Amino acid sequence: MKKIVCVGLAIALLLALAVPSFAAFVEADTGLTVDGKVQISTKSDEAAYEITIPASTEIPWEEPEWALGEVAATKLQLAYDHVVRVTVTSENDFNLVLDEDPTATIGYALTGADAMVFAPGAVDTAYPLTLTVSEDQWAQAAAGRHTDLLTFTAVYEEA
Amino acid sequence: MKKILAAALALVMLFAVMVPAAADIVYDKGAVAGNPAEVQIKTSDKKVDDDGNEYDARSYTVSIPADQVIPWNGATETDPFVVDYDVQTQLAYGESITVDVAGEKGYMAYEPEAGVELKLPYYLTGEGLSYTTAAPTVDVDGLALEIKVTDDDWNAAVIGEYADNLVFTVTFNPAA
Repeated sequence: MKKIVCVGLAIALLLALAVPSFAAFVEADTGLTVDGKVQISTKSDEAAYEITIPASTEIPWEEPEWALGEVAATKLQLAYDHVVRVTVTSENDFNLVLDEDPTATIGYALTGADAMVFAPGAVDTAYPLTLTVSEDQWAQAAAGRHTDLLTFTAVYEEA
Repeated sequence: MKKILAAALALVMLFAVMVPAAADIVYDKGAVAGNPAEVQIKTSDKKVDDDGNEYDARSYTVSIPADQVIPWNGATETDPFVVDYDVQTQLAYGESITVDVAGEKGYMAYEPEAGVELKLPYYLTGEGLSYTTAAPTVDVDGLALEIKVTDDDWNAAVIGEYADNLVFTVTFNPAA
């Protein structure tokens, strides 16, 4: 009887042992990506432009053709539907005038300056200007220094 | 005489009884018995919400700036327009995140009329262009992004309003 009781108590003791629980391990979500957006913007409604013109130049005597340089743009921040139009005028109606005698002249032609228009953003646009003097004009020219003054005017206007 | 001897012997026996030392401390939570007793405390890798639901304790926050307006002619290669963002992470050992930033179009766009898109190119530099956290737990402020437009592009820009979106992409990198 005693042995039966002992065995019974031993079994009861075994059954009373607490089995510890284990936490489940969760795999990381490696597909976790998130996107966020920030808008960047910039704005202007004020046109700005920079036009370069040829420097003063000296033409060799009896030179039939001479490159004066070019009219170009280094900045063209214009409105979409506007342009910068550049025109050129001569003080002496495209004549080189003798310093000592305003009646002695050498007539010349200026080519490349007829339609100088700069469109928005077209900063690679350039208009080379050339001065030509005919043989007849050189032949009749009085000796001495002759000069003329070219005036360039840039206007911002609708295209 | 015998009675006296018996009483004396009983007294001697009483004095000879050794009171044992205090028994081991035992707790009912599966602690390691002994004196001192050991009780293990540990944290879970889960948080618990108010409803008792568990969720992953790992977290990260990337704080990106609000929409930015760049002054006209104001983001040059020598004087860029700078925006920055912050990163906070609390991840497991060996884990990290990577933040990559890129323009959605890669240029700011202006539409003066339907079907016409004009471009103002820009590019990004700086520490914040692509950033990977160096430790599982970081708190980094001011990761800089530099927005740059070349002088030539500014000079050729048709006036108007241009815009693009900077896209911040956050990628989780598991432990190797």
